[in-house]
Amino acid sequence: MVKTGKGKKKREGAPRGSLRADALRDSELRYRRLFEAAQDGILILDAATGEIEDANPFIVELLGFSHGQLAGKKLWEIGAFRDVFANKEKFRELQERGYVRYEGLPLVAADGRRLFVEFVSNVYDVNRLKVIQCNIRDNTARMQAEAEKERLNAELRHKNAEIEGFLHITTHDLRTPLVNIQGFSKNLAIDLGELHALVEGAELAAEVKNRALKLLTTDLPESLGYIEGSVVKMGMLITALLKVSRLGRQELTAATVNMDSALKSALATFAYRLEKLGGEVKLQPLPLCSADPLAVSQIFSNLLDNAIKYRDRTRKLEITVRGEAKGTRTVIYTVADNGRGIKEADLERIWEVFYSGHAHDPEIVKGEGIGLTVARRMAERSGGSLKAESREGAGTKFILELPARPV
Amino acid sequence: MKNEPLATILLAEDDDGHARLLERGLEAAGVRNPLIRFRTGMEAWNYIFGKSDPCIEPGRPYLLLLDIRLPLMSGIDLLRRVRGDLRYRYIPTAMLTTTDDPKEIQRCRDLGCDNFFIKPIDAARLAALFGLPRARKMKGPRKIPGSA
Repeated sequence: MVKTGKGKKKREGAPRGSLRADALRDSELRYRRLFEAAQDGILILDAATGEIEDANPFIVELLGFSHGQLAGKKLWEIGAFRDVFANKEKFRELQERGYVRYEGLPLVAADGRRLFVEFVSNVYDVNRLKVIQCNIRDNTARMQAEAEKERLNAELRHKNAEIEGFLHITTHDLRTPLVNIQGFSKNLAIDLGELHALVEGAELAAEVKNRALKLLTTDLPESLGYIEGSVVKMGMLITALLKVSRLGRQELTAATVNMDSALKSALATFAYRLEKLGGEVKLQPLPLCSADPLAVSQIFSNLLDNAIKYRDRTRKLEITVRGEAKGTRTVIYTVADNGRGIKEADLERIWEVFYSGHAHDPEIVKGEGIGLTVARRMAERSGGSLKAESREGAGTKFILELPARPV
Repeated sequence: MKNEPLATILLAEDDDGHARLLERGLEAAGVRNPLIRFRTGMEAWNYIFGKSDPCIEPGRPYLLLLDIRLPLMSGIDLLRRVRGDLRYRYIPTAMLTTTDDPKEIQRCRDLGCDNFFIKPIDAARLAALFGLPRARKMKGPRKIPGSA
């Protein structure tokens, strides 16, 4: 049983009517239960002296000091509060301001555990004596989780920067030998031409000449052709990787984006292609968002390009762009098409660098294979996300979430 | 006019292949300017700032071609030093690079480079942009046998 300090509240009024006394007792019991069952720590202090008059079971449990160790002591005499209230300035603040709230106040429990609490205090009169009531909420777990989250985020940012830096250097270094292969095979082709002319004009044994001419016109050009083709391919891959690596180094601004006009300008570049293939884009009014305007139109361009590229040629292409607010902090845009769709097994792979759907289909013009990778990275770097839902043979819906414009 | 000496091309390039490709490219484009090649930024710096022997000769025309990524001193550092020096700041300078990194290009522009070439370098274009005199006879595959 918890004792009340000086028992002021316990003093019963004159029992003139037992009904009134009963009501008073009931009320007191109710408040007592509230005090004892509260899932926040509660301390009652004498406002004049700072002496603890009462402490509820929760605070006893939280700090690990017994009620006896707390009651009758001044706040700054208790180990847990010593650091915070040692110079009494904070206590004077409690006395004078009537209402004080600290977030993330560090306390030390009896066994040395470090706690972070939210501390709220109120001053009020009880029988003309001033009392300070302190409510103490344990936020240690939350604060620790937040600190851990922040640490992990920082680590992630660091790792990302590392990968991007690595990618940047690697692609640079890969291009150095490529330039040589490219340049010297071009020289070889030139020299071969000259050699061809020389051999043709030279007087040689017929057998030697025929063999030499065959090498010069068939075998050597074939080998060179393969080298040059592969160099071009490799050059494209490296250029694509470079583009991805640059994304991370690109500074993004946050501005209010008028999506309707952003999308219209993105659409303008596809107008000719869409008209030629008889496709239609249904555009609904879109909410504003907060992002980098260039990044946003890049995302939409990549999604539209994707929808056109992977259209189903047996039906008229229809692309629907919608947008709506999701709560107050996020807006969602969707770009849905009636194209070929994506197999469920491939749905996660579409975000990979160099992944191309329907790679062996001659109808699909192979691109760099980075469109969706870039779009997702841009969405994430803008504080949003990009996801896809799809049904093979029916179509694909891309779902872009971006921060709403701050109100 | 005819007696004006040809500008000496100072090429700072660490990759042997790239250096050779440019040399051959210029040759094929009919460029007859003398060319001196340096393997590191420091080597080029010592030559330009008179710390090596032989070194730059005052009054003679030069053309600087700097690879951006060079050991010991980068092409960008070299460019900054050349542009910061009253004696050499007017030497026509081009930067050579393997990628078209817009940030890098901007940095070089800000430092005052005259041209920027992405490898593989089109030597004929380089010659044209810097107004290098070119011999009419060109080496190349189109040469008709027996015509010369």
